[in-house]
Amino acid sequence: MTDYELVLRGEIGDHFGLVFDGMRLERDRGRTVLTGDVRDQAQLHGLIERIQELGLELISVNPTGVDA
Amino acid sequence: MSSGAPPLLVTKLHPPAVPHQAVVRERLFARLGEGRGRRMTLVAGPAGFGKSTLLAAWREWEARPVAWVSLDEGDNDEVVLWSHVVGALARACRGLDGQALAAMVASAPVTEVALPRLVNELAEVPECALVLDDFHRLTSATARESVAWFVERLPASVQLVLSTRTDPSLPLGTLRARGQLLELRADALRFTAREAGEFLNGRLGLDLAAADVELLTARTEGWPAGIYLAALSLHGKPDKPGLVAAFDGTSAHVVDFLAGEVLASFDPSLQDFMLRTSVLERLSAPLCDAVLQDGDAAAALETLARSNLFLIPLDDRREWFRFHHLFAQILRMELERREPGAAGALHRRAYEWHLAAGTTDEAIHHAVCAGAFDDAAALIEETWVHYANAGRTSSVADWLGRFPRERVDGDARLLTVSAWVAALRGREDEMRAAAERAGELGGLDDGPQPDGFASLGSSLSLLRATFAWGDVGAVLEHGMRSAQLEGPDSPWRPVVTWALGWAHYCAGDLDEAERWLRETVERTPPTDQWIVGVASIADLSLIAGLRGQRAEQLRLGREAVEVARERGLLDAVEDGEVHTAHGVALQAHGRPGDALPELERGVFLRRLWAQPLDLADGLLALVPTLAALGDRERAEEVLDEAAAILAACPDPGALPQRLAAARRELERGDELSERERTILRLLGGVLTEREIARELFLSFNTVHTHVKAIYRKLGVTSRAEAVAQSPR
Repeated sequence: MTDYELVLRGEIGDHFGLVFDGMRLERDRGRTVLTGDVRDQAQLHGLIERIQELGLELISVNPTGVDA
Repeated sequence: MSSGAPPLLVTKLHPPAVPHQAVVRERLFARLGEGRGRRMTLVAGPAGFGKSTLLAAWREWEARPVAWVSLDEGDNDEVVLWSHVVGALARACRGLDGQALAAMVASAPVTEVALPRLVNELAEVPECALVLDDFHRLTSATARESVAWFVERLPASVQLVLSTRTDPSLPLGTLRARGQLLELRADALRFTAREAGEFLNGRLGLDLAAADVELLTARTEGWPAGIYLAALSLHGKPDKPGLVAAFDGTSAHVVDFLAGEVLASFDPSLQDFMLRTSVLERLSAPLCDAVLQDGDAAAALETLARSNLFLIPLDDRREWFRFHHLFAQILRMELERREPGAAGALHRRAYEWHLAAGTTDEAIHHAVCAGAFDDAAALIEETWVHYANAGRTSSVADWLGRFPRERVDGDARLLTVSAWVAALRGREDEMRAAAERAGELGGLDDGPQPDGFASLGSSLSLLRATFAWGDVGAVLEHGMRSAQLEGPDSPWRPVVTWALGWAHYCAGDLDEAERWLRETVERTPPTDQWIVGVASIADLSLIAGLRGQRAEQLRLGREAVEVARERGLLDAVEDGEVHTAHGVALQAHGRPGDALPELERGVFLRRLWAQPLDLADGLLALVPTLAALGDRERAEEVLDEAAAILAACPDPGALPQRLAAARRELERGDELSERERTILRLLGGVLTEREIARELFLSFNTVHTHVKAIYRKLGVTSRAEAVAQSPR
């Protein structure tokens, strides 16, 4: 279990959280930041794939938190 | 287990229909044309860049025939992948023998046999192109490697086009460096303002001001899906400039802003229709009626399909459709937002419909999506044998992979299927782990199984007998147990009797072996178990050979080949012994030249089958032929390899004795006979061969034959060399 932060270009609404496994969404100056717990690599890649499928642009992926 | 090609999902061979509103992007057609003569054309861009539409339009515009395959997860099984590719190419290029190629893909190793044949046939037909759409769905290494092989060897007359969201794991760098790669990437695929204008105003008649078109293009950055969503949301709206201005005024992403607008423009019942049917990969009126429990699907589909913006037809008869991918994503999201958890029930109904329709693949998919693992498991347990027979073992492995770990680990039946699947894929450790766990769970005597076994215990016994990984004793032990459990009317009986026959042959008990093998041959036609049927005929040929019954040996060897050919098993990995037996028979009849290719083929196939005793048997069969052809060095290498394999076998039966005998034979065969030594001595003198013949009171022909044998044994080609080499 690791906390991850994924930054997307463009601002998307909270209802997108449903697609992103209940991650938190924060919008800021033309970007959306997804934060939340990611169980494992498979889940992380699943999130990235869904971002792709929606035609969203992924800017960065970073683990956050103490063990990062 | 019988054999057959997997059914083709014809809709995959059908390119998406080009919407009549689509803009003709001639500048991109020209670029695609630059790919002619290069090994690969790559169209790479994220979702929504119009790759499929572009290629479908190009296909209509191109003079050359263009074959099309829309890839999906099923194509990770290379048999499924190449079956569809062959099907697509056969439709597009006249002159290709689609049926023969498809049969080969299903029953022979793909990269080693079927693809070379395909490549050869393609070289003989006129120029064409092949589009593999959604290439990013191919994630398995074997499937990818088979494509890499194909890329390297296809004739210059075939333009291979891969359309993908992510750069494939293929040697792109090398192709780029060699000028063999043509790339069309996102920046090339973006709409220019002119193209956007042509679409929005020219095709859809939205009558937007030039400034508004510019604005939309800039705001979406030419992202075709974004422009498409803009078109959907503007469709039927009275205040178009107002909407464009609102879009410009917000920082919301295109997808977020427009998605809501698009749905809102439909009346509620149509919205509902779209939201609920979004769980389906492909839609037809009867299927939608079943999922929605409604009778109006045909009308709704008609409405949506009319504008060609929402639904994409998958065939010519407008029976099957799918949503535009991005739109489907948005719909699924919105469904979850409005009715959390509702998708489960919809998947369930889709499962039931597909189950009744016999489209097992989709039934299993929907069952898994619905979390109905019991139903999915039941289907897999019933049908796995058919998939295995059709060469689609990987498909079954993939489905099992989608189950939660605990669900499989706690289910003896599923574990047993996993064990069989692992064994068929040559994975010994996986097979043992699954079989052991199944044994631990117990309940192995709970009666007849959906796949025809008398009990789970019987299935596991036969599994261990068929895949013994070099342990003859184990085959006999598990085989005898299975023989007690699978009676004469069981569909699995021939597999049991074949395993026992083979084990007795390995153990050197020829009479016992013959008894079991004959029973197998008799029970083959009613049970359709041709794989073991053919193998048994081949094994009987080998036994006849060991008994010195050469006429019978050759007759059986030929019969095995004939039946294998009839049943499409001539290049099956499971039936390598057909070639071994035929080769051994030819060798016994003094035809080493004809025997060699057969024996090599046998070894090749048996190596892929991965059972050590099979491989050792195939290698041993090669030795006499190699010796007869004078390749002593290779004969020794082969013997050494066989020895190493047998040394690692827990119980190699009588094969080590056979190996020792073969080694002795090889050594002796090298020695000159008394007569030959005498002649060689005389060759060292001045007499001609005729004079030598008179000396020894032999005919000239006899002496000449001996001289040839001497040259062969010494590995020389002239009298002088022979004399120089003669032993003191």
